[in-house]
Amino acid sequence: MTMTTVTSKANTTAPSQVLASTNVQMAAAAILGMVVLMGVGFAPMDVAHNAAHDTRHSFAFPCH
Amino acid sequence: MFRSMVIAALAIALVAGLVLSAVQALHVSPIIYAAEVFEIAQPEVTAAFHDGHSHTHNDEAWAPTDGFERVGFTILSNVLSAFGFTMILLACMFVARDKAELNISWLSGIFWGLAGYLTFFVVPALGLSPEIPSMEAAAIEGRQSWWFLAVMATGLGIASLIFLPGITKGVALVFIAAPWIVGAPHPETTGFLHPDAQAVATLEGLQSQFVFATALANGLFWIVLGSLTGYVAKRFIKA
Repeated sequence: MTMTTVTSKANTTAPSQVLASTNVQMAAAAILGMVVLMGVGFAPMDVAHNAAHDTRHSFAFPCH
Repeated sequence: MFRSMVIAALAIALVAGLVLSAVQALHVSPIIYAAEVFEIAQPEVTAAFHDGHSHTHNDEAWAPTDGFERVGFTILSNVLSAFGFTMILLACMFVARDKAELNISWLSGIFWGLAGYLTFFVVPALGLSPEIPSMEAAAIEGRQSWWFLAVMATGLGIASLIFLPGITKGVALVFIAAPWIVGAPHPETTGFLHPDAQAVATLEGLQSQFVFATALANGLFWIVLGSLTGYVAKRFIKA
């Protein structure tokens, strides 16, 4: 009984929900990537700059 | 899916970040260390010529000590940066697969890596040459803004060329031209302001070595990152 309900639910709601959910996940993935990059490569705090100094120069991120 | 993307990106970033760290330790960092010797030796000269340079460093701030600690933080920063790049690359690969039926594989990953290399290194570096310490440069905020513009415009330019149909691909020209119409910010005096001519000659030599070393290190990094991301995305991430 429970199995039948779940299956029919999945069949009627899946396509649009899956698509929307995929889009949200892709956007979230790209934003997470950018936030981490900003922290390592562009955060203006001295401590962040000093810790990642050689990485910033190596990637040719603007530094100093 | 998001969870498996994060786990995959961490593994890819560890490998690509360590490859970069090895090349960097051999060919890139020695140039940075050599240039720093001159930076420390001439603080009053740079200070005098840095009008409008709003970015100052507090000498009291924590910094890793040279040697093991500094290399450790550099490796960590490399891996974290690689993680950031991989998450962006994975998102782009999956969107391209779902919207444009673009195949994902280690081979197509190499082309994604080359696109990343052009977007995040080559084009920004054509406007703002990779810098070594003690090199004169415009205010940091202006350079960072131009860097973002160059990255966004190059990424959108490549995407337009590949994904837009027919004549609309021409939009790519606008994106590719945009950073050059705006123009990269440069300081009034370029080069090195060290009072010793011999030191300036040494720094100029280091600077050209640095451009080659970073171009090669970043190229290798992006090819490894792209192909690994393509392979892992196809093999391990189900969606």
